[in-house]
Amino acid sequence: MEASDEGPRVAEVFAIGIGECGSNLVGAYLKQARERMLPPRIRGYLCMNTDRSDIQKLRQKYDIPKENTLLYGASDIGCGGNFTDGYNYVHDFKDVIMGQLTQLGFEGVSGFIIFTSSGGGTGCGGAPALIEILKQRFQEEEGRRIFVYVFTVLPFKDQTSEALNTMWSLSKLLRGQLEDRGADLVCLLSNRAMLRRILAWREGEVADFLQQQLQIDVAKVTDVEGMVPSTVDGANEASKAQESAFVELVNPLALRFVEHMLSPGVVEPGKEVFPTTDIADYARKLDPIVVPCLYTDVSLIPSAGNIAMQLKTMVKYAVEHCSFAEIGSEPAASSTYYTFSGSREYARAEYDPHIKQALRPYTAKGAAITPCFVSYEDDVHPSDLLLLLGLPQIPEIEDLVNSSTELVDLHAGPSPLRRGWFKKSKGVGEEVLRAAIRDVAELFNLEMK
Amino acid sequence: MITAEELLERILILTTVNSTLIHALITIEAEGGLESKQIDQLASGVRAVRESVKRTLGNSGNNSATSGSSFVDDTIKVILTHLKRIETALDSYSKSREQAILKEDLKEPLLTTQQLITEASADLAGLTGKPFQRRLSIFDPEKQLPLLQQLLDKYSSRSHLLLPNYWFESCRELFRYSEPREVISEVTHIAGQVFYNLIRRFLAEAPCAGLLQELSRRGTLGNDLTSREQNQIAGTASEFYDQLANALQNNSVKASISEAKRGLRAFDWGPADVEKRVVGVVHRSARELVDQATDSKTLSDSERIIHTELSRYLCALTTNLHNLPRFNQLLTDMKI
Repeated sequence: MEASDEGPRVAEVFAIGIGECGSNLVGAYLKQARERMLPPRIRGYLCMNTDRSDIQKLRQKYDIPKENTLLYGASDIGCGGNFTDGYNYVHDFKDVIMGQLTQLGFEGVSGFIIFTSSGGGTGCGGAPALIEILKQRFQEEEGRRIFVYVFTVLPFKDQTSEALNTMWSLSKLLRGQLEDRGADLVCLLSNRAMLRRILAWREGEVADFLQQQLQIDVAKVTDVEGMVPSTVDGANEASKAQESAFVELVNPLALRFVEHMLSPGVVEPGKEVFPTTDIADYARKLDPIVVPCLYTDVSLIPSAGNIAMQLKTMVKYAVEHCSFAEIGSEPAASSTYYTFSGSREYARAEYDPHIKQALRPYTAKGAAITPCFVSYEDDVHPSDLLLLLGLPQIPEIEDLVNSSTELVDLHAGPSPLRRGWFKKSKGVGEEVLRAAIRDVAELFNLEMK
Repeated sequence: MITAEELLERILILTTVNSTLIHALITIEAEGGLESKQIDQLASGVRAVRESVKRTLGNSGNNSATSGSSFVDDTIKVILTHLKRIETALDSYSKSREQAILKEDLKEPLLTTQQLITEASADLAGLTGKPFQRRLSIFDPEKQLPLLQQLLDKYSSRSHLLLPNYWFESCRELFRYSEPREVISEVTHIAGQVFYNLIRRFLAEAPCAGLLQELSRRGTLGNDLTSREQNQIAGTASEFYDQLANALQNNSVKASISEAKRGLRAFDWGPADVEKRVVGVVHRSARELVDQATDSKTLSDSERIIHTELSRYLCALTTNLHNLPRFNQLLTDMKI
């Protein structure tokens, strides 16, 4: 992708998709970018994986050039859900990865956006390692700060092995932050929540899609989310195809959020951003984990009066129906950043007190709320509200914590043969996994069962 | 007229020649042969003695003590005959040694004109006083190259060999230098092991083994190096030895390690569309050499310097590789 030659250059970021999920997100984003001519903030991109067939399928599906993909690792068959292998492969092939990034022109970017799933092996394990080597490269060797954002996708329902991987992944990413070796911001996207949203908004389209892809009659299904199989611990082709079909449904939604998040940093004619906002601001003013809520095409009628009520309704809808992870109606976020964009008529800075007032029920006492207004001269741009809720209560996380604990308990006990599962499947011992679960539970103030 | 003293002197000389010849025989037995220079010196000595004894024969007629004595003349004639035979035998031995060396050299593939020019330039360069002299023949006292060749032969039926052959030739080129022997022996000893491990990683370890086997099934690009590719290797090896000479003269291990690390940082990974894991194998070997030079507690300073220069050699060869169209194509074809 080439940056525009017109007007001031924007601070560019480099996108990396790691693992199957992450690479597919990057691929889907690029496909959209090609089709819709999005403002280029992404200087370059790389889709990296340890599974050969995934890379080949990805290239074919999204028409991605060979130079933008990287197969690493020795075996070509992926990590099989073993995040330790995923982590080690990145370190073992660090020079290869950095060599490829160099050729793709990653030097001089302001930051990185890493797309990954939290439940797999390659991405889950590889993302923390990738951040370590990137930070080392820039901070130790160049003395420069770079920002690394991780967009991590939580697993579908009842994927217990993925749940356990998620615990390790979140723990690792956040502990890395304490040592300045971790992500500057982790954006949680939930497959469950996104699927539910899509089912709610576009039921007809979804039904057609599922019928076509999987020969499923949605009308006869009571729990669509539960239909997504777990594929991390080995799966047949049918299960993989089934999961892939659901992933295709949710990916576009995830990408819209990415676009909105990067948009304030893009300079365009007739666009004003107040106050100036970009990736560094999000990272500095928010808690380390955020859940985005994106309400697009908001209907506001200033002339109808009672703008405060309208804005309150807008915020309520955004939080309760447009979040990318289920946060319920009392998320008690510890920090919030919002971006309200639209034509000048609607995206007005004077709405800030009302929006803040509307957000108070969803934030914890004392939580900071940071605004950003993006206004356009023309009236072509729809009004969109993006909320980034820092460290909200996420019931889904509680499910993941409980599932993970059950899985660990299942394999724990006096028998060394039974306990061998930990090393075999995850590459770490029981204690490490319990510590990771504890980290997440404590972070979200959850009581462990 | 020859005096008794002169006669005794001649006898002493003959005895000395005898001793020298016996010593030469023992040396041939123990060391497998004499050097050309030694043979020539011996032959000259025998010739000089024969001339001297011949003069004795010429003077014997004037000897009042021996005049008319056929015994003395006959004895001298016998001595002369034996000396002549020894001289002839030494000449033949010298010729046969030259032929043996020639035969060894003729085992090398025939050179193209360009190669001959390169050889001549190398020999001329030797006349300018460069410390490392390139030769036509291979100096491989530890027989490392046959081991490498065996490795290639073992995998020849199922792996594409162009890339391993490139590294084999890069190693072999280092063995074409024979002086100064001590240093060259160290270089070839270390290089032999490094290149053996490198080529083994290509042929027998994932992911390269699989990639080379796949490439072999496609059957493109050929397995043997062209003369241009060989010449490039020769040039790089020459630079290696020049740099090594400088480094050994400066004798600063720290500076050598620093240079080698710089080389690693500037390592040429090639364009974005080549298979990086294959290139990564070389990078790993180059890095290991620097690590050994840095961390080893048993290597001498000269050995450390050789390690770091070999690392730079590997890096330089990799840069060459990317500039060679066939290899660029090969690495692109290999990329998954």
